[in-house]
Amino acid sequence: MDSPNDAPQVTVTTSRDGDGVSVVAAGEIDLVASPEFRQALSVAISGARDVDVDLTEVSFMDSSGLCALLEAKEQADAAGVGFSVSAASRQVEGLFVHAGVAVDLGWPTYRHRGADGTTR
Amino acid sequence: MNLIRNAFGPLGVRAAIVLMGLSVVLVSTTIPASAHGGPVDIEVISTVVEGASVTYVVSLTYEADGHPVENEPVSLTAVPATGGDPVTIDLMVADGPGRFTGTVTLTPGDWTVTFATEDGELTISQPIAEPAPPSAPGTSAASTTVPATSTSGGDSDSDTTLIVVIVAVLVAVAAGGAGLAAFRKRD
Repeated sequence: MDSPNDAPQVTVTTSRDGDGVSVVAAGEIDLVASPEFRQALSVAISGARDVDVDLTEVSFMDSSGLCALLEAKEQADAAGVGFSVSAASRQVEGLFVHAGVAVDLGWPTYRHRGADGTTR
Repeated sequence: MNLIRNAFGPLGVRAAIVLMGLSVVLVSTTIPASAHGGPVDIEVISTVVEGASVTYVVSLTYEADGHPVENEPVSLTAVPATGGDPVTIDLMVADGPGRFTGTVTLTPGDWTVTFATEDGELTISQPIAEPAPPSAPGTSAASTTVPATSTSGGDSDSDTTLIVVIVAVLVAVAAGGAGLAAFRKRD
């Protein structure tokens, strides 16, 4: 039977409610898993009006995962679809802030908490 | 030999021999083993769930050397916990070495999913959530409209009540004034 090691590296759950799409990711999004994450985001954007991404359960994301998010944001902008990250783990939040893309991804707490934990 | 020695000099010959030796080592280490076999490791790279549709990407590598498994049939069998009919599909080759993908449609509930090749097997559990009840814009709008109408009716009632109170006060004041005037006239 499955053990923790057998768990998928990343799980992406997409649920649609009318024109709105919620994407919840969990696990590790790195060079190995980012193509599937990118594909899932692309599918979610197509035919949607708004896409909300929840990365609370993402324990690790590297630049390839961030690249997938930014590409999805570009795709959404081109299609006139709203796209934002509404929740993220501490590691992912730090990645957003260090890369300077928090505002681009609609990260809501950017204005309140910096990478060093200080209030901005 | 003299020709080579003349062409490269003593140091050149040594360098050429060293280079040839290095290239032999390099070629022998970069050529992949022509024959693979033995147990296979299966790892689930991603699970993408959209409603009842689940897309898996798995990675297959040989346990012995970690090389990707190519061109080997991989099957997926999903068995519901309730004991219904299993769902079986063959995975297709995906982008990337040793990667295979497939999509199955599963009804809500708990499933046991097994990926299998001739030399390896992996079983995982896959819960499928009940679909969220679809939002009904008409119902939502109606429920928004009804309280609004109700609220509007409430405002109308309170306005009427206010008018009645004002009229009553005016009538009372007028009656009081008339009574006072009559009282003074009698005096």
